[in-house]
Amino acid sequence: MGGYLLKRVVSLLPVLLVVAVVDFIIIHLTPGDPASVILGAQATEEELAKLREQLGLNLPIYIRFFEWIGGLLQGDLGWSIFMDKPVTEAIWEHLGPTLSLTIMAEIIAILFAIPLGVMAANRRGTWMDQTFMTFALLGISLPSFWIGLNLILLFAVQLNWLPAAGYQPISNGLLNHFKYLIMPAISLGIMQGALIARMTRSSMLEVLNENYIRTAEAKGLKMWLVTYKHALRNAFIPILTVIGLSFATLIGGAVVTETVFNIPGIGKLIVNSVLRRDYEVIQGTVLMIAAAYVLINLIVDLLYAYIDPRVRYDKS
Amino acid sequence: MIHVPLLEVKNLRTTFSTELGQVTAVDGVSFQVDSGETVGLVGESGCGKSVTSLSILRLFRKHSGTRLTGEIFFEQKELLQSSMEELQEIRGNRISMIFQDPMSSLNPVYTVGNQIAESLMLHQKLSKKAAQEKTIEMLTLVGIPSPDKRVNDYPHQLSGGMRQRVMIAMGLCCQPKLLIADEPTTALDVTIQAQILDLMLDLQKQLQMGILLITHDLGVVAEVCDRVLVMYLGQIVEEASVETLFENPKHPYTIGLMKSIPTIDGKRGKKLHVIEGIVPSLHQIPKGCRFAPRCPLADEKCRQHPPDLFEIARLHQVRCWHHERIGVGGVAFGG
Repeated sequence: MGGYLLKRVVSLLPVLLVVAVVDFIIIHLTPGDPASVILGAQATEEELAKLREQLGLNLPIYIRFFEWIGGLLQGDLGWSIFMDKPVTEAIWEHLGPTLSLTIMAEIIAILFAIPLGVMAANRRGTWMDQTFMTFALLGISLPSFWIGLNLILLFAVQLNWLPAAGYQPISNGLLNHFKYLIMPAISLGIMQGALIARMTRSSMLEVLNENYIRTAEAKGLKMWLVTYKHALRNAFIPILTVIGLSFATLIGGAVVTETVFNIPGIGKLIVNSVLRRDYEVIQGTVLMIAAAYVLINLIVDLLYAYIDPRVRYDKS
Repeated sequence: MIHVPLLEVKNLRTTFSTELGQVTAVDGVSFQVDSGETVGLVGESGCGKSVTSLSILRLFRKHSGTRLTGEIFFEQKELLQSSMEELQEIRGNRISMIFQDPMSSLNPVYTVGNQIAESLMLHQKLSKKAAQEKTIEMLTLVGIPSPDKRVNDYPHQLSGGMRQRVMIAMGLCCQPKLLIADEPTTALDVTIQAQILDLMLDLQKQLQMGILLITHDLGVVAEVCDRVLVMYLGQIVEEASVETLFENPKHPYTIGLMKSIPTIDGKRGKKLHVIEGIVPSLHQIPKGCRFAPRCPLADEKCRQHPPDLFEIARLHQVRCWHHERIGVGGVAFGG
């Protein structure tokens, strides 16, 4: 296990290096000038040139690349020219809301999706199966911002139960925190939940036809034990994969949802930084997201062995 | 005193809805199994043996469109009308099943100990610790070496023979009155086959169980069964004691099955006997006798009118219009 883990972690490095290179190139190919964004439309050519020199924007691109990579190797993601602080600090500040939102959305998704998917599989072909799966299809098809806007209309504008937008950190009270996050979490969770529910159903359908399920029934076990103990654990590997992927996607910032609900998360940070041409922030954030993505996948791979004893990493 | 059989199946019909319409996989099957008795249920693949055995415990998925009619009495209790709770009380406790394929019949993600102990905790209300001890005892009984270690193994860590022993331990741990064994040795080596069958018979003597043994292997039947039911296309075509069946088979299908067994003194290079044709689809059941399209004795009557089961001697029934033309040992029979 230890050897496998080391191998996997080391193999992350080339992946991240490729991401860093592509990340840097794409951003620097994008037209736009940070200096003119910072100084505004009124700035003279002279002022602009001065600021460019100050920011190091006039240096050749390869020098800037190696400076940035050199910093990365020392754990320095760079400097935000617009916010005037280290990129790591900017990401750290925005990570909290995104993490909270992601975890809440994922919990909502899993809590509903797995039981509904299991029920649909157990009652394959009945009205219940068809109703659940129609809703799941709707959940995948409807954009989360549309769901978000409708939730705002209903719960904030009409009923006045919840705040329309904004964010309160946990330090301002747990209930307050939830009040602000519940609507965006639901609108994100619906889509992820729909995916998980469909995967749960199809994976369960496959497992329910297995001989060991018949063995479990022949033992006299109650239906819920057969379903949740014997079937679900066998069906869980593909479900876990979908959960891992959706979690990784959400960590990357739900750009649109964070914008609709005005949540200062990673998604908003990226959008704002792109508008400001704040190169190093964009580069740093993209790299951070890539790292989170591969790490979550690694965790998911390790969980496979926990769920299914036949999965072993050390051999081969 | 009236004799009450342990299991009595009366006129069982099992139908499935398929995309091509309703099919009747088991059509009017009746038989009995007594305590301490071993009854063989034989026939080709697809003749309804397994469906018959699954019907006894109603092991079909709830929304699969399976319909069961007839009556099944177990210890005088009707099973087809029982509630699911009553049935779950009987499954694995009073009636146990052992399935054909030990590779796929054990849950791959739980240890074999867990899977056996589960039954014990459920039906015998044992504590976790007591169930674990009893599990090790059962593994010893079925001849698994170092059972205290094996109990923590996962199915994939065991060989096929060991897994089938685990299945038997699981089936017998609650000391059932009836054991339904669906081709328990088909997937195993011949030497292991003999060991497993011996083990089942040994335990049968100790527990006085009735066994319903489903198999397509007439060799196994000759060795272990008291009585035999031969099935073809969802119906019983012959029922007799094992001696009668082998000495005096009366149904052309039974005779065909017996002729298909290769013998050690048979000429090398001589072709083995095969029953002509294939089992028809359940969607196209012949109008008259179901075996008529493949039967060397079939005539117009056979093709038009389905025969009933004739009782031709005590405990010997046969479903054939021409049973009288077939002499002792199946002679006077073309082919």
